[in-house]
Amino acid sequence: MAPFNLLYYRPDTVDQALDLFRILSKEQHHPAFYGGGTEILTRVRVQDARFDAVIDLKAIPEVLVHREYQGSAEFGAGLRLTHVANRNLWPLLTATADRVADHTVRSQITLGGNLLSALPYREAILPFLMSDSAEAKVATIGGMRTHRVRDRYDQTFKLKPGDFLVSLVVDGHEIQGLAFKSRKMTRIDWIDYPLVTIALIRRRNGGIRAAFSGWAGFPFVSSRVDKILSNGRRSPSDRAKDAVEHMPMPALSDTHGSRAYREFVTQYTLAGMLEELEEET
Amino acid sequence: MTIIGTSVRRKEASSKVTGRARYTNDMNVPGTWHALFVPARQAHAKIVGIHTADARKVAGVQTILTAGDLAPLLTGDVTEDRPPLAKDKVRYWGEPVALIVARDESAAQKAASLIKVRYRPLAVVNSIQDALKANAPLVHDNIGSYTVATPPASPRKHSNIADEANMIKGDPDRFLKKCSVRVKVQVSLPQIDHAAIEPRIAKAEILPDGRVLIQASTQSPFEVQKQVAKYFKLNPGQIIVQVPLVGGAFGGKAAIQLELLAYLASRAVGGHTVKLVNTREADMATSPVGMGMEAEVELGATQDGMIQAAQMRFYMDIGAYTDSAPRIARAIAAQCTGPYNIEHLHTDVFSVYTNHTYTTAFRGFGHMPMTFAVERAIDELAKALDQDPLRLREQNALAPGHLTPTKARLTRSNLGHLPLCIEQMRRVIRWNQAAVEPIDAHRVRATGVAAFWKTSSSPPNAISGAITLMNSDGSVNLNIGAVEFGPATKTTAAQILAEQLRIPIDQVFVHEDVNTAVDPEHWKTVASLSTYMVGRAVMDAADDMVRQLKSIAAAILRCSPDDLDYGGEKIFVRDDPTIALRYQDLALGYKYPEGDSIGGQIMGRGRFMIRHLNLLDQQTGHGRPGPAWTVGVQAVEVEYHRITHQYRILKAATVLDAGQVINPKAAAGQVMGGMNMGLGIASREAVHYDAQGQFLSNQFRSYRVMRVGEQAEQYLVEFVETPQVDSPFGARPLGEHGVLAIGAALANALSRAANIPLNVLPLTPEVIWRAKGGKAYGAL
Repeated sequence: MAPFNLLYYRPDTVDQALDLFRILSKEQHHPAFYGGGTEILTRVRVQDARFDAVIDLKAIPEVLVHREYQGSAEFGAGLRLTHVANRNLWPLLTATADRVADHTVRSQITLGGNLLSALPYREAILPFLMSDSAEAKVATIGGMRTHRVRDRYDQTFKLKPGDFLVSLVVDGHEIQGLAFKSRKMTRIDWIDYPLVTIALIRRRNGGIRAAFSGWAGFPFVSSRVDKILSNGRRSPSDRAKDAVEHMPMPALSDTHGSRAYREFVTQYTLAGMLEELEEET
Repeated sequence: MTIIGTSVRRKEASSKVTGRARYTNDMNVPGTWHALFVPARQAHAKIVGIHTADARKVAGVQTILTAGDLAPLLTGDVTEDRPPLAKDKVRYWGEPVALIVARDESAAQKAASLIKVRYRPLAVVNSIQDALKANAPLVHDNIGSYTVATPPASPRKHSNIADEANMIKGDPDRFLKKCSVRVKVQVSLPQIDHAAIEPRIAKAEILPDGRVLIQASTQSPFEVQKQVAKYFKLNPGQIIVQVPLVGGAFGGKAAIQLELLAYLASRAVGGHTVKLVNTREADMATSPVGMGMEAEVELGATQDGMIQAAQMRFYMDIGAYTDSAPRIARAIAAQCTGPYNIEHLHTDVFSVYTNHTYTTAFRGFGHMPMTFAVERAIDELAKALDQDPLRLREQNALAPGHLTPTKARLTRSNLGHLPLCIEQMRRVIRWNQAAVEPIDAHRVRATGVAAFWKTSSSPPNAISGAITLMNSDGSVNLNIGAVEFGPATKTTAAQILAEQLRIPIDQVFVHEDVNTAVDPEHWKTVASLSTYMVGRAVMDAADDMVRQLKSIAAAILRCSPDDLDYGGEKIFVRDDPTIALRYQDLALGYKYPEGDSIGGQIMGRGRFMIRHLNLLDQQTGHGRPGPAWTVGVQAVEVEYHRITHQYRILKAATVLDAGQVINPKAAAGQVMGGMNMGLGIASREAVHYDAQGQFLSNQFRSYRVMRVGEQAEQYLVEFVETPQVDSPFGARPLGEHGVLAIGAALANALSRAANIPLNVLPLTPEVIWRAKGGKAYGAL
């Protein structure tokens, strides 16, 4: 239970949501935007909440968009992860998002909630980080702004206080028939946080891109790692070894696994994924 | 026999599957106030000050207690070393420091957030090694001043050793040296959580006439009654403990903790009804967990595989307080050989204080970690001898005529038949002599086995009882003092009563809760003893009812009671069954056609007391620790990947000597559940502490239990039946046993598959990888 009065609002429009945030802040409240609620509610339970008002975005039509439109695919930030997976507009997104938590929880978690989670994993962002075309629509007081996801990503997708993520758009041409692999490796369980989740794509020019979650305190991509992985003249295991040695930051050591073990798992997983990816294409 | 040996549906099944079953927290009296404790956020620290003034100002807060508000009180099942609220210092992360009573939960939580405890951190004893170092910081400064309320226990002054239990038999030093084959195994097991679905809860109320009502989720209602009386200087009869259905216990609800706090909370607010309920986080970090263990086992054998001698040392991470550790230590010492005949033996068991969450009984009462150590050693011995590991176990199995480590004499009745179990296991798992079979370039399949035995380790004066009342329709109400927390205890008692009275099982009604004011005393619902103890009491009560039925029927039918027999809910004349009286005609007394009546309600009373047990001698460890030993063998088949060290559990199997199976489906389910729990513990469960002793695994997202889909692909359970003659229908205890050796069987399978001894739990792929050298991929 929440040991304090929690204000709950469910605006119908983008503007109402923005106004509410501004007004509540002015009234000395600490508002937070509310997606699926899984993280907010679990944090309230353990008295780790720094908000006293929530603005539920799930009644706003723009936040629930789920469509192919003018050659693009658009995903509302308020879509549940299970909906994203069931509709399967972008198989790579399905593959990464469908391994978050368990099915019951995924039917609550929203895409935007996962991307902006306070937890280090946020696997659903991996496909967007690897995409050249991925754009985010952000609601701001000054109107709807569109940003390239990668431009606004530095350990986390950057939003100004009071702004919120409305939807994500990727170019249909970019994602059509794209060869990819996604694998989540855990300590032992099928359902658990990742030791490492790896997503790989092979672009039409043969270049390989990789995105990682669980290795560090935030998901990341690395052009240096991509370059190593793209060198098709070397064996998958050599490239995997080299990539692990050239990650932009050292691997975490925690109760899921030690740093050395994370490196080991990342290496064999990456080698296996490269092999399969290149066999198929 | 008609009902014994048939799969009857458990009495509370319909309520449970429809969600109508009521647990302690499902029944709330309006106006109940909420108690909440503030947990320590240091593992070992002096309490410099507790600031409660801001918290007291929160609307709805009734009172706030700290140790300073209470008369000095130390509690404990064996050694009294635990204050209900931390006094002067905290000894584990999560220990209750202050207790708030408020009108509602949110006020209590608000107040809790405003209580500021100032600490001066002390060096943390964060492992068994830390605790045993020379000049180690002491978890308890004055061990010597503690009262041992229930001997035996041997705390060592100025140390972190809460207890030491020893066992010597024969001449181990001499015979171990003479053995041509010797193996030594060191194992390490982390603390684990009971992980019952229902978190612990206690409610207390003090009535104007002085009676104390306690409702709690406990395995020990009668012990709660006695302890509350003792600590707070009340009469046990004044205290009424009521226990509805319990949502899983696993030994963790045998300990008494929240009941004392709930009583203190109620007393502090004039006896008002107060409820104290654990969050999951508190249930894991504050209430007791299962012990961790480090152990060393050395076995010596002849070239043909006869075990001659053994030397063992067990160190238990009991956490900050003793609770039942000395009892568990003696259970380990008494059964330390496993079900094998070892003539020469020296075993020491140490209960070691650390700044970890304190521990209590856990399903198997120490036999699970003990069995892990012993069965790993047995398997290494089989490898050293190049012998079939099942054959090795079979040829060393204890048999009638042998003596246990404590020199208790074994008979065909008090010892289950391990060789028969092993013989059956060979068929069940299509035994291939433990060969490792390749599947493809990287994967192999391997099977591991391990055997177990266990007795109850109950006190020598444990009692049980049953009261039965006949209803006007001839059906019978059964009252027993055993708590129902899952294993169909009440249903088994009903089956035994139905069988004895020769009535259908649906004519027996067992009431689900236990109330110490009306139910006969049952020691504690622990140690898999309910079938034996309650069963015997129920049989006694049934005999009492039959005697009464016959006696009144004899008068009415004008014959001797000896001429009468019974069945089909009737009492009849043996040589002419048409001369009969229905139970319902006698239930509330018999009314003659003329109207005059005789008799009264038929009510049975039955009782049982354990016999022939004694406390183990402190020097030699000799004595008789339990009425009988259940034995069995377990096996696990794994598919293992030699590069990634990932594995799948294909099969898990148990063959157990059940004596006589009373309810086949319930028994199989109980053993399957045990295997699943044991495999979860062996493969993934662990309480983690950080370098400062902070408890890191206080949610199911960080404390990993086996989830649906992660279990073994197949669970196989079979029983052999050699009766325990003093038990109802020959039934042997089997409640805990599924858990006992399955972890060892998993480790034995993986040790063979990975070709390296695996002695550290939990067996995650990382642990195997580390045992294999922990090298980078490709550096093989």
